[in-house]
Amino acid sequence: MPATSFIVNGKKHTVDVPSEMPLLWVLRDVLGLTGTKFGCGIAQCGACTVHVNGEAVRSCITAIASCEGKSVTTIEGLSSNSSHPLQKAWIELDVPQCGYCQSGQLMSAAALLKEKSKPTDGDIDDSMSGHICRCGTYSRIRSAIHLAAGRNRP
Amino acid sequence: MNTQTTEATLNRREFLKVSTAASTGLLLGFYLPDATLFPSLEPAAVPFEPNAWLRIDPTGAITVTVGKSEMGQGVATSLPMIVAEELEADWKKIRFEFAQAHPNKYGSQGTGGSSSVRGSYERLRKAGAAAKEMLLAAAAKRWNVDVSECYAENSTVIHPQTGRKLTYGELADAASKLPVPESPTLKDPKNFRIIGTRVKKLDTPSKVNGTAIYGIDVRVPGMLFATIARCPIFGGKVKSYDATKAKQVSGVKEVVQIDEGIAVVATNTWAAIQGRKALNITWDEGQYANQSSAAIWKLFEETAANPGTVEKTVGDPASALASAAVTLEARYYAPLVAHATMEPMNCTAHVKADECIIWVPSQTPQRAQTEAARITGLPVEKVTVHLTQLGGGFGRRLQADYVGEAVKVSKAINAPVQVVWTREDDMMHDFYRPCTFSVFKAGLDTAGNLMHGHIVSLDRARKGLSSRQRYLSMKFPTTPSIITFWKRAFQSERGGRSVLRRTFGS
Repeated sequence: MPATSFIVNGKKHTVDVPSEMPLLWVLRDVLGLTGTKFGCGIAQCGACTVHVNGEAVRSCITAIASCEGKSVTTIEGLSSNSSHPLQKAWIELDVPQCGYCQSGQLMSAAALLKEKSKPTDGDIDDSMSGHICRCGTYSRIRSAIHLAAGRNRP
Repeated sequence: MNTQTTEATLNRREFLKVSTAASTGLLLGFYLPDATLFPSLEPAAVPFEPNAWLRIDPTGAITVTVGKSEMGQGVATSLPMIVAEELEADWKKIRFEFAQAHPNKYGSQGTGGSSSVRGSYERLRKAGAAAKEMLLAAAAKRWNVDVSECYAENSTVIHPQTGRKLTYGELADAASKLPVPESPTLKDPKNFRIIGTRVKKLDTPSKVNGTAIYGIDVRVPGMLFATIARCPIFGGKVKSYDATKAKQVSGVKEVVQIDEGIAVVATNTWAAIQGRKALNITWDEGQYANQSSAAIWKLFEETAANPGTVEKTVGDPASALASAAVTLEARYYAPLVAHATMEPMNCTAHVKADECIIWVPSQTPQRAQTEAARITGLPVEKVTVHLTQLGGGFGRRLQADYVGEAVKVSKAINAPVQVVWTREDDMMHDFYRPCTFSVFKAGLDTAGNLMHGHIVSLDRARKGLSSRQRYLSMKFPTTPSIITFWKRAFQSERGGRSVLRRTFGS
C-alpha cells in the first residue's frame, strides 16, 4: 500500500494505510486526533467536517490518497488556544449541549466566514444545512456565527 | 441516610486508591477552566475531601464529582452549582469530574426522566454545607475565635471584627482533620447567589476545541477496534460463518463469535468495518423471519376491531355522541423509531484475569458495572467503569447491551477493545420507541367543539417479555385499550391526562 504524506494542523505526517481509507479514520485511529467525530460514515450528518486546503469537506468519505500533499485542518487546529472568533462566540453563547456535532459545525462555520465575512441568515442556513444536531442547537449556532462575524474586521 | 454515612466514612486511603486507579487510565470529563488559577500542588499538601462529592486542593481548586451522566442536558454544570452554592465557593474555581460507577457511594447514577437535579438537590446541598462548616470551624480554631463570629464568602472565611481572612485552599489541610457534621445548616434559598442564575457551562470550552472525551474517543494503550455483525432479523442468530476473506482485510487481527454475532477486531475502526463487510454469514433468522412493518399494521388494524378492554369511561359518552352534529374518525400509525444519538453506541473494555475496566458513554454506569461483573464472573468491586461524555442519550444509553458486547469481545481476544456501532447498526438494532396504532373517533357540535371522544389503541405487549422483546414490539396484545369520554367531564377529572399517558405510552 502506498504511503500518503500530508499536513495536519501544520505538521507533516506520512501514513502507511490503504489508499481508500477515509481521512476520518486516519485522523481518529491512526493519528489520535479524536476531535473530529464519526456520525454516519456517508456524509449525511456533518460531524466529521474538516478543512482540506481550506475547504470544508466530509472526512468520512474523503479517501486518504486524495489528501496527498495537501493541508488538513481539524478542530484541534482551528486555533491553538480556542481563540478563533467562532470558538469565542460558541463559548459566549454556550452553544453546545451534548457537543458531539460541534466540531463539524465549527469547521463548516469557519469555512463560511472565510468565504463571506458577514453572512446573512440565508447564507448560514445554506452552508450549515448539512449538519445535524440532535440536541437542536441550530438557533444558537446561527446567533454565534453572527456574533463571530460581527467581530470580523472587514 | 445510608449514603451520607458511606460518604462520610470513605477514608483518605480509599479515596487515594480510587483516584490513583482513575489516573492510570484516561482523565475523563476533567475540565480546568484556567490553568493559571491552579498553580501546581505543593508536594506535602493534603486535599480536603469531606465526602464523595467534593475535594478542595490546597491551591484552592474545587473539584465536584458529578454522579450523573452528561448528555447535553447540563448536569456537569447544574450539579456543581448546587454544591458551590452551599459551599460559598468561588464559582471560577469549580471544576468537575465524572464519578466512576459504584454500587452505592453516589446513590443511583442512572440518568434519565429529568430527575438529576431534583434527585441530587438535597444530597449535594448537604455535601457543600458540611464542607463549609468544616472550613469555618478550621478558620475559627486557627484564629481562636468563636465560629459564630466568622462567615464564608467566595471561597474565603472572614472574621469581620478583625478583618482577617483565610482562603479555602489555605484551610483545606486543617479542615480535612475535623469531624464531618451530620446535619449541616442549609442556606435560606432567598440568599442563593448561584442557583437560579445563568452561569456558563463548565464543559463548553472542551466542546469547541476537540478536547471533550466521548466514549468513542477513548484511547487505551494496545487497544483494538471492533465492529459486530448482528442478525438483520430481530431475534435471529448465527448459523455458520466463514471469516476467510475478512481476515485478509488489511488491519483485521481477529474474528470471534459472541452471543450477539460475529466480531471483527482490527487495528482501526475502518478496517473493522471493511472486515465485517467481507464476512460470509448464514443466519438462523428465527421466529420473526417473516415479520414486517406492513404485517404489524395489518395485525393492529384487525385487532382494533376486536372488543376491547375499557380502560376508562368518563361522563356520559353515549348522550354526547347522540347530540354530536358531526362525527370524525382518524387512524394514527406511530412506527418503530430509533433514538439515533449523534454518537453511535460504543464501549471500550479491558478484561484481565482479575479485573475489568470499562470506558463508556452510559446513562447507567452501575448497570454497566453489574453487566460486566455478570459476564466476567468478577466481583462488582473488580469492575471499574469510567464514565465519559455522552454524545446524546435519549434513553438509549440506559441499556447495557453494548457494554456486554465489548466485555465479551475483550474477554475473547484478551486485549482492550473498543466496539463501535456504525449508524446502520444503530438504526437496525436499537431499543425502539414502540410502534402503536390508534383509532380516534370524535363527535363535534355545530360550532366544531369536541363533545365526545372514543379512542381505540394498540401498543406493544409488555408482560412477560424482556426489555429487548418489548422494545422490538415482538408481541402484541389481542385486545385493544379503549377510552371513551365526554369532553367536559374528562377535562374536569383530575389526572385525565395521566390516564391517557398511561394507556397510550409516553
